[in-house]
Amino acid sequence: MARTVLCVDGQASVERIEGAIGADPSLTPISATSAREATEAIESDSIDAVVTEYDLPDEDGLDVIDRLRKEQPQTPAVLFTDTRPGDVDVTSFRETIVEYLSKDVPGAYDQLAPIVTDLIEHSAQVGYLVPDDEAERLEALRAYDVDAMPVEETFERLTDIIADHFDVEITFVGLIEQDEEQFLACHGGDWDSLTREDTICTHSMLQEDVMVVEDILGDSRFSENDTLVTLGIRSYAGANMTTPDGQVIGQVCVIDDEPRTYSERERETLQQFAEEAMEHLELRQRILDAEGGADR
Amino acid sequence: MSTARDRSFDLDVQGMDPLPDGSSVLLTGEDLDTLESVFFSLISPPAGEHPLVVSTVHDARTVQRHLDTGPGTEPSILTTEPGRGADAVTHLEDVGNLTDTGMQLSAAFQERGGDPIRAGLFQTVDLCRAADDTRAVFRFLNSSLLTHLRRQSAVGVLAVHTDVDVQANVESLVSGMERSFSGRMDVADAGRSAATVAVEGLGTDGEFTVAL
Repeated sequence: MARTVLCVDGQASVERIEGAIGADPSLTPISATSAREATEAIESDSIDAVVTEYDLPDEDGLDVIDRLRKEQPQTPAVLFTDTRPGDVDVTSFRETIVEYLSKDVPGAYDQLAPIVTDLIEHSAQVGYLVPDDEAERLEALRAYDVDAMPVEETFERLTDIIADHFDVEITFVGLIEQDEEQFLACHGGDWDSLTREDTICTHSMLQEDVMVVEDILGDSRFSENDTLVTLGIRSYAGANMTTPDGQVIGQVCVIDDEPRTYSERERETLQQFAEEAMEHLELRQRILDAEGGADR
Repeated sequence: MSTARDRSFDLDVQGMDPLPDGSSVLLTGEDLDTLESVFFSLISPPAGEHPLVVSTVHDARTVQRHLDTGPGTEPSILTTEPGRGADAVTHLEDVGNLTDTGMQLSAAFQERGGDPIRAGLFQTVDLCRAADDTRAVFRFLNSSLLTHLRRQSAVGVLAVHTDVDVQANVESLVSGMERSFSGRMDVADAGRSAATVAVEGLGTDGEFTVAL
């Protein structure tokens, strides 16, 4: 499948960048010769990567990348320029992560297409840590055909029981997919999904034990997360749903609107609820598999 | 750009197999001095490898003094600490400006072309403390540092001093990082000339000795 790469530079140089990108048949270059044109393309086209000069006629390349982050947050970008990094004005940018490639380095144009391809395939701009074996984890998740399972009532009952047991505002069972967490059931909240970058579960899943955040305002990983604040989340505890072959595919979580602690016993109980949820999924999938086998 | 995937890096840890290129090691320890000694031991390269060090603690001369490099090897150094150094030294005005830090890191990797690189970051949680939002640090690690390690013929050691206030649960933070990197070395014990490290996820798990 061809991937679209927006190439941004002055009229005299952009054709050379397009040529370098177009040398890879899997990449389709489109061009813009100003920040304004680039912005229009970002707002109207589906773009897989951006390669931009820093010094543009109207604004600079970081402005273009900043706009890209707002429209398409995970799309990678390369600042391809003969301006040295130390001469790039970063006073308005602190968190815009960008690949820098100097035009002055021998073979720079030849490196463009391989770098862009690598960034598209491996380096989404995700603001969370990804398990080293994420591909295997997602494969394990795909083995559960949740859409075909009648699990909603089961998990709604389970989250009701958990909320009652812990006396918390919100309880949910969520599956952690590539880009978002999908909620199978949620007591106390009308949530279908959350971007993974905004969830605490994407951190919790990396821990073997139950993860507790007693007060998100006191934890720098979450205190600047507007989504959590807007949802009124103040404290969190999450336990892993782990497949029989050891992959963490989801979480069972309890959330409250005030700081709180969880005892060892409470953590153990939450973990047991997560194992219960996982067992439900596992059994439902086995039934599906058996029914599929009987149909064949 | 090197795409060779068959190089291995010997960290000179007794009994531990060399690491494949692209490997990332989370090095943790409670004692800052010992952590520092083990860090520089691990990233001191043999002939044929180039050292690239990002430090939020050391000036360039201190990095050069601690690194055990062969004659004629001039390490690439990105440091927040002012001071004189060799040509390949980049001063980071504000390590929490991850836009600048990321671009400077890209440039440092790019300048080495296809050379095998032994990279080190000391110390990682300073980025978390300096950045406005920890999510940006994770974005930096994913999209910049770990990307360069994977793409270039390189291995990386990222040091985390665990006895430090990061306004987060350090053990929880470290657990998350551990799953994202190839593996973890935890400095368990140290004497005058050697340290014991507990290794997980790097092919040969167990306790090993690092000469200091």
